[in-house]
Amino acid sequence: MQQRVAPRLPSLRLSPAAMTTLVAALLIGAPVIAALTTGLIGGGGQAWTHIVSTQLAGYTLATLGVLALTTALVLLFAVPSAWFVSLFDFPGRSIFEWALILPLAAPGYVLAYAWADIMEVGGPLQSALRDITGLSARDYWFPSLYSIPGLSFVMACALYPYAYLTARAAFTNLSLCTMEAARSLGASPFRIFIRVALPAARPAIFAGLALALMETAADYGAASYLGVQTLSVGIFRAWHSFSEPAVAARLAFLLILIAFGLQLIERQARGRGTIQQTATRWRTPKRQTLGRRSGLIVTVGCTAILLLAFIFPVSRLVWISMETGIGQKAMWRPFFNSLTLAFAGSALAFLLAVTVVISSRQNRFSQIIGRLAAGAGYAAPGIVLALGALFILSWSGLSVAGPAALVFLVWIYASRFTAAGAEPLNAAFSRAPASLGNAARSLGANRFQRLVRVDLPVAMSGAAAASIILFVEMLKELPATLMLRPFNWDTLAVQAHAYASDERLAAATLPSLMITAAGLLPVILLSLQLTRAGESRAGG
Amino acid sequence: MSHTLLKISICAAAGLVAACSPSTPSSSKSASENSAEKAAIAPGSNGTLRVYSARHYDSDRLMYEAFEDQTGIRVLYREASANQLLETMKAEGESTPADLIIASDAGALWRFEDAGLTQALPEGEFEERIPERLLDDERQWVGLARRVRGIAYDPERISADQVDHWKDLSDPALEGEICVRSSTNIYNLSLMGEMIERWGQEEAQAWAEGVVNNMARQPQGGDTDQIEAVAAGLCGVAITNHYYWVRMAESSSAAASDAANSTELVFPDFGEGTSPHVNITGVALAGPSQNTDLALEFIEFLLSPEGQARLVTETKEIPVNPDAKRPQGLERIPQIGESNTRLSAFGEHQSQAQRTFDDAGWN
Amino acid sequence: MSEHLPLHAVGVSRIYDGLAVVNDASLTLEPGKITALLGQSGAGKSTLLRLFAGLEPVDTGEIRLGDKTLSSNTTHLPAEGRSIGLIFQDFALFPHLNARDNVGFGLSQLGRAERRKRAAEWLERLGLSHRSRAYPHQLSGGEQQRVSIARALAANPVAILMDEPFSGLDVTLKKEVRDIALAAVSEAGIPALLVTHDASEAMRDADRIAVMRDGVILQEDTPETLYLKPTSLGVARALGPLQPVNREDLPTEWLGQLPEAETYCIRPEAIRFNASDGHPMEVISSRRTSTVIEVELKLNGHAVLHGADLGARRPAPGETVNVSLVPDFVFSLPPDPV
Repeated sequence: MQQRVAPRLPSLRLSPAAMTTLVAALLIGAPVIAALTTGLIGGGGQAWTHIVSTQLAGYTLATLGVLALTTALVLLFAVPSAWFVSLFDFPGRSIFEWALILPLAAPGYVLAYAWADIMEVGGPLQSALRDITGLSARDYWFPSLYSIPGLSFVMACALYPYAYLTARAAFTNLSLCTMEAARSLGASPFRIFIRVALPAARPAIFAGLALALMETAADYGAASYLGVQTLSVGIFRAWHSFSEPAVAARLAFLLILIAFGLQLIERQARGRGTIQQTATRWRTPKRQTLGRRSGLIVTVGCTAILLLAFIFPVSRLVWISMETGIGQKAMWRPFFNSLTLAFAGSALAFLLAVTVVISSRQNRFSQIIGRLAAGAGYAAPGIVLALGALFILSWSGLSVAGPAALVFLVWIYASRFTAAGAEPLNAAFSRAPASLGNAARSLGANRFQRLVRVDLPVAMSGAAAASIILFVEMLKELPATLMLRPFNWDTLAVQAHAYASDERLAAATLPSLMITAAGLLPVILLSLQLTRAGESRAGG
Repeated sequence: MSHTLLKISICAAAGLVAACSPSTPSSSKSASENSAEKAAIAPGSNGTLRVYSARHYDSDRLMYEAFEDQTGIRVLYREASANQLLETMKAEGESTPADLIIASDAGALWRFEDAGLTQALPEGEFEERIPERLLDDERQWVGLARRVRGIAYDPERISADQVDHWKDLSDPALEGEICVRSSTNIYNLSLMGEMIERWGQEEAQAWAEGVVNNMARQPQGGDTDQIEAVAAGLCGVAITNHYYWVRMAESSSAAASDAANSTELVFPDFGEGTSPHVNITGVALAGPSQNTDLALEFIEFLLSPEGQARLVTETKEIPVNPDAKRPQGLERIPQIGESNTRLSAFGEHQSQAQRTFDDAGWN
Repeated sequence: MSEHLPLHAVGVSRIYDGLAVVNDASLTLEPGKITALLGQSGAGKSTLLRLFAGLEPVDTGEIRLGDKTLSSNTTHLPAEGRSIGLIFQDFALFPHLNARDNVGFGLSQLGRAERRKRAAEWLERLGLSHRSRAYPHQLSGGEQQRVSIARALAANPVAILMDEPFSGLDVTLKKEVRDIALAAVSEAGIPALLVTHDASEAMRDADRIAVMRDGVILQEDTPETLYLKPTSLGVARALGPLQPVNREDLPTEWLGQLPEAETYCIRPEAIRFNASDGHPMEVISSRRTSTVIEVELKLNGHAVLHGADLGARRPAPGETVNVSLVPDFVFSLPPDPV
């Protein structure tokens, strides 16, 4: 049989760098791709029609509402505090500088458990209110946490530190000269903040905010506990109540679109103005001491944030836990499991992030592919990735029992969080001028040696930040762990969720507090390290 | 405790994920671990049983360990919500590792049966020890413990005869008095299932509408939250499963026990001569499982007086084996008899129940 | 490594987007000599340096060390294999290493103790032994640049290439850093290239100067020769200020000293005031900079003649002075080849 020779495809020359990225990108992107493909080819049938006609608008509006309110609250918590902490002196400044990051250690769902209990009609707040006023529970209106504003409040408390961190870095890096020039032109501190500092720091603030919002959009634990029907919760429901994984995957597609939209906005904002890093070093910005009254106001404001986002909820949990007694709970095993998973996951994610970032510096193709994959993974909530992983499993005919499930879980973690690690790494890498690499080459260092001896150490501050953020995020991860963990393998997050959704808050407090405690040390490390890095950059 | 600690230290020493995963076929049966548990028959020496459980109780773990010690059958468990286990099993298909499924609420067990994920239970002695109603007609699952849905009310506002029938709740006299959780919850769905079974669709629909009109607030939170709302005076009537009330009353937290004790618990019936809504926690045999003998042995254990006690001490459910010791706190609540409603009715009417709630505006 | 080899560029070109940034350039860097590469920004100086260093491949021509080909259109020894030291305008010190470890970076083949000893020696040679533990951000600009020179030389390079090494420094610092740095470079006895846009820096510091424009090396010679005997207008312009003057505008008594040409290029220092045999001219404006007095003179009614004088008295505008011409600073050059 005569066959025409197929025209030769233009051979796509893949450099080793591009190949590496492609492999990394596939590793990161496979679960999302699997989930989305199933969503597209798997028929949604009646359930899909039902959801589109009755639920979809509600889910979408709830998600957008939560995102909008969370944005406002995150900015309110993060930006003024970062501004005052980086450029002014007031009572307690050196404590707030690092303490304001602490809420990063507490997962959103843990804050939701604690705040729901505090705000409950029988909880301490309303009881005290009734005792003081003598009113009965029917005589007054009290805000409910089981609402969109309630969920937004909780998410903002849990996630504002991302924006606080980026805003603080940006304010600290503001050239002193710019500020002094503005002051010499007669601008008041408020005007400097609005007209000079805020526009200059906007890209950084947006970056932090975008991170917080993507986490908010992907949140399942807090939203389901508070009964807010977001897309994320909808995905769970489509799957569990309607038994339609394909429908769940379609809803996930919408969520990923929203998250990509957020990323796009962030990139746009970044493109419009970046703080130019000059070769010369900054002088230590001398912090202006605030007047007594304004100092007091700022101190009270920062204290309030810390109380709301961390001290109140955590001490409430400690109180419940002490009141009911710790009991016979075997928590060390889940604790150990959580740590193991988070370590393994962040190691893999870190490796992938380094691969993506380094190879994206080699060529444009790698840059696009790497970004896309990492972005998609981060945008997809854990549940979608777990869904994708299960699809992959069922296609390949593998079983999730046994240690293979752990490998899977670590993979899903990495797929989900590589972007969170790649961002700070990328920033750190771009800070190093090209001449460093050339200098190293002239001193005989080959590509690998340059990576190990120059690029990585120079990026170290960013790398450390990246790996700590990865670790803490994985410690808090709930939905994917819930679905993919092997037999007899519970993490703290899973236990906290199981107890809390079983209406046993007292039992949930211990694992909740243990996650927070486990996250606290790395978060403090991160905080100190970033604070020090800020000082040393400002020094000299 | 030292037992657990020793296990942890072994894990820590090994420092390997695989070594810590009991589901690893060989490595976990290391000599050191066996010697640590030499007091009993080494778990796993007589096979391994994999349980998907929708319960999350520390006492369950002790229960599994007791069974392991007695029989040498290792029990591996995975705990998640019933829906999640269901979907996981669907995704896993024939290759599912599950042997047994334990879930609370007959409606939840019915979902596994409906999805074709169960098989008929083998015959055994356990059948003699329990009321006939608790074994599914098709033998697809069997009840292990009872749970009763009832009403906690504020005796200062409401009298007992205002809430002794379920129909009373739709009476306009209770306007602004009812606190209840969301209708998507399986407990409410099964309750509605029984109403549809007993009263028919129309009456059930009218009831749901009446309750919605009487609600003190939009449904939110869980059953415990409703009891607390009654205690705080926000409403006069809360729909709750009995064990939530018992746990609160037994709690070491003074605030919680005070709250429960300021309310009264009743179990309304569905009309003269009927019984309250008695539901179950039950067990089913996973369809693809080959370990029928081991599974039977475990079910026998669960329905033995010892297994029953272990099953309900922490949960405060009511044992189904009359010889079993009742958990502490149950003496605080009214005694109930057996219901005569088919348990499978709860599941069969599930989707209709959800529609009924949706139509009534009960979110 | 006692016998140092010259570094050659032979007819090298580098093309970006069809435009030759370096065009058929040939240049030899002799051992022990500092060759300055002089030109304005965009002339292709830095690209030529990168070709020497192996940071970029050549499109045509060859880079050779002695007889050994480093770059050609078939071979390319990467930068890390060339052992050619590089000095950058932004110092490019590794921020995570202190001064001593920066200097020791290229000595990784040595043991730790030996490496530190060698680094300490080099720091001392550049007058920085007291700063060896300091991190880059704790060093002044001049110190940073000396560390970077110590770092390059410590690695025992076969040549050293400096890209605008002193332009990032304060004027007051510049001289000191330059003297110390260049002394160390000369002492090393290796070929050295100094890329600069500053003609006075090139003439003062370099043994030879290559003038580059639009990717082409116009002329390469000693500073003296280049200044006094430029072969093209471009070279003459690159080395100092020039003004073109038509022959018919010049006073006739000067023309005898000059070769026959239509136009001349005159450097300011060709003008001398108050010579007894000078031509009287009217001062339009005069201004004292630090060392010299810059004067504008009325030439032949309409043209203006710029001059510079070292005298103590500044002629006032409107005054008439006697002016003579030193013909060594007057060139008649063909117009630039395009």
